Amino acid sequence: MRIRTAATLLAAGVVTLTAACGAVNVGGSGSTVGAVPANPAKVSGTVTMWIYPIDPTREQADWAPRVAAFERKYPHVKVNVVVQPWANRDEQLQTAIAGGKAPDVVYMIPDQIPGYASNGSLADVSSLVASDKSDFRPDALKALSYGGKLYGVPLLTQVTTLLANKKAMKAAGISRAPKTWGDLLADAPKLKRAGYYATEYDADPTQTLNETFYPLLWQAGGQVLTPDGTKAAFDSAAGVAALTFLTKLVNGGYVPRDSLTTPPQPDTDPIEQGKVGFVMAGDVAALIPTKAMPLSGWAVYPPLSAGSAGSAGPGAKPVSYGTVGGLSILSGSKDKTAAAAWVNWVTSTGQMKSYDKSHHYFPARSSAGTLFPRSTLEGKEERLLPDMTIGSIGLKSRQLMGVISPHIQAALLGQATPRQALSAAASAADNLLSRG
Amino acid sequence: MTRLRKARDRLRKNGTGITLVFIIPYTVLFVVFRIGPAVAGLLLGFSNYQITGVVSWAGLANFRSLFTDPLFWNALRVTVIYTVIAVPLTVVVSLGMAQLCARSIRGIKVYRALYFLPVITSLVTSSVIWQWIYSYNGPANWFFGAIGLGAVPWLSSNAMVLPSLSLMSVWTRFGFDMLILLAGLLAIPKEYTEAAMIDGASAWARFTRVTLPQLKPALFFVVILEVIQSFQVFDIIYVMTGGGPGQSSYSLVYLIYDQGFRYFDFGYASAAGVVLFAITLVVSLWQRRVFREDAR
Repeated sequence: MRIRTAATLLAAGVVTLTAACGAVNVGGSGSTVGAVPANPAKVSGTVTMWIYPIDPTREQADWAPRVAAFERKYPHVKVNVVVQPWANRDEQLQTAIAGGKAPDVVYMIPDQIPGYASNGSLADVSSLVASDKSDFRPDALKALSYGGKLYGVPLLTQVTTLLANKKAMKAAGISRAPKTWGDLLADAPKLKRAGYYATEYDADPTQTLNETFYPLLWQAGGQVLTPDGTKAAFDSAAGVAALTFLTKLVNGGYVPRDSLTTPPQPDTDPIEQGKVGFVMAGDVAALIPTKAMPLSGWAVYPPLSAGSAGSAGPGAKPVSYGTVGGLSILSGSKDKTAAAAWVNWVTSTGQMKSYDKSHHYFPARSSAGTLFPRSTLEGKEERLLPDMTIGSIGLKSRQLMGVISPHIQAALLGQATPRQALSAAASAADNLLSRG
Repeated sequence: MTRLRKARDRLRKNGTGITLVFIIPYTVLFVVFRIGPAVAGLLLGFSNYQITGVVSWAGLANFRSLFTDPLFWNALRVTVIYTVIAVPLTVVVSLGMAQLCARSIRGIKVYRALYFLPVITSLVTSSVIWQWIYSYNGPANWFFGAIGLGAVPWLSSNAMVLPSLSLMSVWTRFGFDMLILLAGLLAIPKEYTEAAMIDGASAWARFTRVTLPQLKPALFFVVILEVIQSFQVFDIIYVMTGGGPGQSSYSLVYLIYDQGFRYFDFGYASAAGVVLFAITLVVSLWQRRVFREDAR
């Protein structure tokens, strides 16, 4: 009886597993999207796109007129835009793909691409930019590529830079924003005396290093990995300098202690409460205006460089992280041509300009020009786009962050010296990379 | 036809029919949504699975990688330590509160309802509240400062993070356990304690010699439940510490989540899930045996 029961359970498991696997089997290599027919009447089908609240105040309403305009041009195509929450978006997408219920088009950022592309979930969309490839920013195309193929058409670009709290600067008697790490360290005691933190550093292991440690590493002239991507390179002199700079900020009491261990929460984040003088890698579109800290309270400055007060160090450069948002077509899409027509249309120069301007981001096409006047916060940021880097994008980028973050956190909590922490992190990273 | 009628009559006569009607829907749901996925998870542990549906047999490779991965052993250590701290603490607090709530005092029903509130509060909400309580300038440190003890690194010290999370877990869990134990306490005939009192037994002796032995089934249930809950700790870590500082609160379920949903390695994550299942099963069977032997 027991054997029979076990056999029944096993059979049920096999059935469930088979069901979970679904009917989609693309052999892990993905598929390719062909060119869109010139005649819109020849394109038909239904396209579902998942987008996220890139601008939470307008995302849902913003798409309705765009869809209507597209459907007028492509009368045989129906488009459904679904605004999904940012929270747990990978879990949601993976579950949908596994269950055969994935959308046709999805919004993606560079560090998602390798994972989904390598398991065959995304279609190669190189053909969609073939005719005007030179119009796209090369960095933007590179960011959405994996293994020599393009897996997303860029829709927007973003840059992180130095944001300054004008009220804090005034209260601390700081007339000029810092240009180097040394400048910030010199300003930090003044801000502390005035009741402000110099900056905030989110060190809990869930944070992306692209907006925390990596920019500092790049500013000191360092790199995350060796050029061939097989070994850790962040444990260099540049890495040690970056982590030493951070430990000085922490030990001086110039950053909120809670930010070192706990993920920031809305409403209690010192940045939103106006208690932080400078954000080292912030961007205007991501700022949440509050009563204590309205958008008008911020000023935008170029990213910091490594170096002492008043002078940048050798090899130092004012660089920061920038990212790209693009539209990817899923391999399992049943109407790839219709999906391609939609993606092509949304990422065309005119549409891209209007979407990016309304969302406070920047276009990925040079033909779109600059969108914001120099006098605005966004305008100042837009002119810093050449200083951005997308960093190292690879299949194990996220896993690397997972093994590096705890060691950086340990150094900031005084449990290891910067050199010890980076050396241990490099050893863990090399171990991860060697696993193939 | 006659045989069918006989079977029907038998089902009617001994009440089996109506029992089956009530049991079958739940059994079907349980098999489809619990047993099925569990077996599927077991099989996934022996495979390399891609979300597009590509599955290849991996044999024991995932388990071999798992047992040589220092991250797994750290996660296991964290989970065990958390369980060792959280379970006794929760059970003791629940038992104490159940004792208090078993008394007939004015407004006791209101107190019982209030104590149950944390159970029905979302874990994420509770975690955000406790994150604030534990923050460097939060109420907990304000209190400790006021009594001259200074700030405590609740979530920023490797040594303190698991006790701090356990404390928070007690707050969220004790209401539920308290109700089960309270039901157990109220079911104990008053004659037993009255007889012990007449024999001159002290309050402590009455509690340990009369109440606790009578409460054993309820206690067994609560302990099993708490052990399983503790082995599956995830939400509060996800919200409050992200597995840190360092990897001091990186639990087994957090590892499963990371490997599956962040790194797409579902086979590896499932292998870790299988190990978690095996550990939970062994611990539960062992507890069952211990409680049974004691009962004899």
